Amino acid sequence: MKKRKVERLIEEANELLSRREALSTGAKVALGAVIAGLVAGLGGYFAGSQAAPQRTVTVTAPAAERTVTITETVLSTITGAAGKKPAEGMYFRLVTHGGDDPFWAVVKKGMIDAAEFYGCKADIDLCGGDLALQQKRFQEAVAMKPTAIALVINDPSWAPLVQDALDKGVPVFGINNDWPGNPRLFYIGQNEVRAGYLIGKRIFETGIKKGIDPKTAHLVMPVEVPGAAYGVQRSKGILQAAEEYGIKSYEIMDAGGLEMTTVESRETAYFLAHPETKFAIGLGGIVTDRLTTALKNAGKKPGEIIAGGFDTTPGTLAGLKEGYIEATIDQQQYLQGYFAIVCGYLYAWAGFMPNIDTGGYLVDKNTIGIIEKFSPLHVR
Amino acid sequence: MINIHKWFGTVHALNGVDFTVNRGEVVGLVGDNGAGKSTLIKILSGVYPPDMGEIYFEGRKVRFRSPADARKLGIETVYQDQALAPNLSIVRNIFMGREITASFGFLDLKKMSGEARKAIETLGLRVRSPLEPVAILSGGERQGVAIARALYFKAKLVILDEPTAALSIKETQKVLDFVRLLKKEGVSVIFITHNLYHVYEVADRFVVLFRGMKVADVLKEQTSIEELACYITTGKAAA
Amino acid sequence: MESKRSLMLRLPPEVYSLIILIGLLTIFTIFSNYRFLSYENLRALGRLLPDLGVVALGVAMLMIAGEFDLSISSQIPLCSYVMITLLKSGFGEILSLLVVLGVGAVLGFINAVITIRGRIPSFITTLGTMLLWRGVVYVWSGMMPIPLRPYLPETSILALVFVSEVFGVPVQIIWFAAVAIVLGLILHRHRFGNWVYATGDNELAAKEMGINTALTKTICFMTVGILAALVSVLQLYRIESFAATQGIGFEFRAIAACVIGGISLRGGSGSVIGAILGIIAMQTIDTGLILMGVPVFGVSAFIGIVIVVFGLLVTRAGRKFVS
Repeated sequence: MKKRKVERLIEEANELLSRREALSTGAKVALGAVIAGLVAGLGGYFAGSQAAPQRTVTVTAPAAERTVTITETVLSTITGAAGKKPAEGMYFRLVTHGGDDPFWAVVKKGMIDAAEFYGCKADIDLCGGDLALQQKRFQEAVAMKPTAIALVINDPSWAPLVQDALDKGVPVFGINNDWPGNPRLFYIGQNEVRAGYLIGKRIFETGIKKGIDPKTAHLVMPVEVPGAAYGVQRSKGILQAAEEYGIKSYEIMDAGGLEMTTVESRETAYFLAHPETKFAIGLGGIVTDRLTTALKNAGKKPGEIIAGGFDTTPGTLAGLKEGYIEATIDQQQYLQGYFAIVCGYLYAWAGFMPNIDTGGYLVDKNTIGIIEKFSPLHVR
Repeated sequence: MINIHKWFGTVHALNGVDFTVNRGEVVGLVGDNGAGKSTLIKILSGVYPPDMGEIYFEGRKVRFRSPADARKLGIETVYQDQALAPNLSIVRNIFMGREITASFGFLDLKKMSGEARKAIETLGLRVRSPLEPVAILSGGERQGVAIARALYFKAKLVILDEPTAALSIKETQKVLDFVRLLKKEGVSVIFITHNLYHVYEVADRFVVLFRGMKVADVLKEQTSIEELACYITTGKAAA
Repeated sequence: MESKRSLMLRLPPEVYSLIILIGLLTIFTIFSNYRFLSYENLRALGRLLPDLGVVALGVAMLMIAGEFDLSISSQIPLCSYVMITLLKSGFGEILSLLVVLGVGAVLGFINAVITIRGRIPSFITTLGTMLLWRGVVYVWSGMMPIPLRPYLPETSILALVFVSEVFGVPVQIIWFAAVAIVLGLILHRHRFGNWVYATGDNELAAKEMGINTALTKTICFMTVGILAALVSVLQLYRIESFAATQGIGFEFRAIAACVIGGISLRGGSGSVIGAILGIIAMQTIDTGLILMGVPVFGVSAFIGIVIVVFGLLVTRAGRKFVS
């Protein structure tokens, strides 16, 4: 009768607790939140202590506003006079809208590597798409008077804030996303429209060579978040290419968000419903990842539909090897983080204002090798 | 129950209460709100332990650590809201917690259904099918199901906590009929209520609690409703 | 003198779910030029439906017991990450699977303990654990996707068990059916199932009758956790990589599937059949609409409308059935 004993124990314990009415629910919830924060912090600590030695990095997790601090005090690599690093004493802050995305993990890695190489300190804010939060962080960054701020400029409302920072003597330049009319000093990032154009050109070129008739061919562009800047700009570039090749029929497809199963099932259904589709270009990393399986689900053979897209996630790389995916764009976002530091240093040192296009590297069957080599290192 | 005391914090809910119920007797336990009726029967059914005092059942001293202990001895309580689960069928309600199982704990639905039907019919309750959810029954019928459950499980003492509250006149009569039936079966009943008129019809004896103390313990023949009302409101016999 | 009630009103809500679902499926079939019934589509459905379905069945049982679990959307990526980390570290597949199922059970147990001991509504508890676990996953994994292939042995047993086909039928749907049968039997034919219903319908009465409601709820929470872990492995093997975005949105879709399947938000009523109907509905609405050629941008709005209508009708029916 072991079960009875356990039951009774639980009952007795429950009764015991039912008599201690002291703690109010509010206090319990608060306690729970503190414990949650502690556990998350501890988890972060252990995660950080396993990675390669890093500089102090503060990552603000999205929306929930919990600051998970990954602190790993690095034993000083700077020893005395000999071997002094160029950017020592400098502090750079990257204020971004990024978050729930492997993309930004690579950006962060680039930043960390460059900071270590140049001997400076750097922090990155990931605001998870929350513009208000991002602006708050920006103000806080300005108040800290860093050597320079690298800002993702994803909204016209940044212009006065950037101007204000510049007036206060804090250099601000743009990374990853830019907005016309913004007074930022220079911009480092991928030109999304150009990247779209590149992949579109490659996909259509391949299709035409195979004998696909552009006048009747249909193009589908699945996107995770319809209306988001990345999708809009990339589709612009793709459609530019489409026009050049005389392709008129297209649809931007709402793939249903970031969740893999939903994306896969919707893409499959689309392919089944639209047999006239000859070209498929994913506008984001996840939709491109699922294209291969969706094509297989729909009974298509490799090359029947010319497919491509963005980023180098495992599904996409597998598709490249199997021949379902023709090509994909590696955004080289590592460079965005890396050059944020380098250019920040160059500006602080000698006033250079470099405008750098970091993106648009076309990956196909031939160049996949180097991607596979560096992907596990979170570099590509 | 002898010399029962119970404190809740500094509130002396029960102050030296002696309470007896004889076999086959219907006792009306009455008193105003806060008099201690609920507390007393909760102690008797094992929900709380008394802080002081003893309980004897069928001549033996007993101590309940949980309602399950009391139920094992044959003390069943029928609370107003806590008796039945409305969405569940009559069968599942009757056998709640005491399901008849075949091997590995799987329900023997056929047997349960049959037994449930028998249990209800003993009380004279008429339903289309014991598989119907309890929610379609009227208030009085629901009390009937709860009482049928107690009867089925060979209760020796059934405690009814405000069984006629919120019931129509017709339904109340049904419940009082059930109580008479219980008495006929030799089951003792404790009938708790505010409503003197209801309990007066069926009770043999009355116990009045006033602010945690027993102020009256009289047979029906020796008292009247007016006198009881006086005890309830003032704690004293009529002036 | 029974009050006259028309037969219509006395039907259980599951019947309404079934009627509406059949109606939807018929519309999908006809207006998609029968593509909806094509082998490719049904096979894709069979592969993908169980992702939500398996864990939603557990959620159904938990909801009948009167509690919610929002944290499944974070349990899934967390368990997936644990699985791939174990495989990476060289542990055997079966052992890793057992460990991960254990992790799921523990996560469910934590939800149970906090809810029951702390007397906090499970909605709040699991909201907290949902955010907590997802934060943990993001930090641990750095949000990078991790491919599965490099860490699988030559002949992967689990790949056979989780991602293959039996006479053309995807094995995932067989898993779903198996879980449905087991949970259905327990819920409807076992004494524990009666405890679940009693606990959800009238917890006080259940306690009165000697049912250990705390234990009952704990088992339900742990079942959800184990099923979430199972789904995480199913997904991991099918997608062939760990993705930190796994499971997003599952918490509400599972609850929505249960509600439109006739499971009451208040607990105490509902059935596994209803849950199955709701799950099928949730998982086929968007693909059905797309197959019909509805412009994909309108799909989300449509899904919202269908869910609301479905929910209204079924909840109404549920109320009328009982009272």
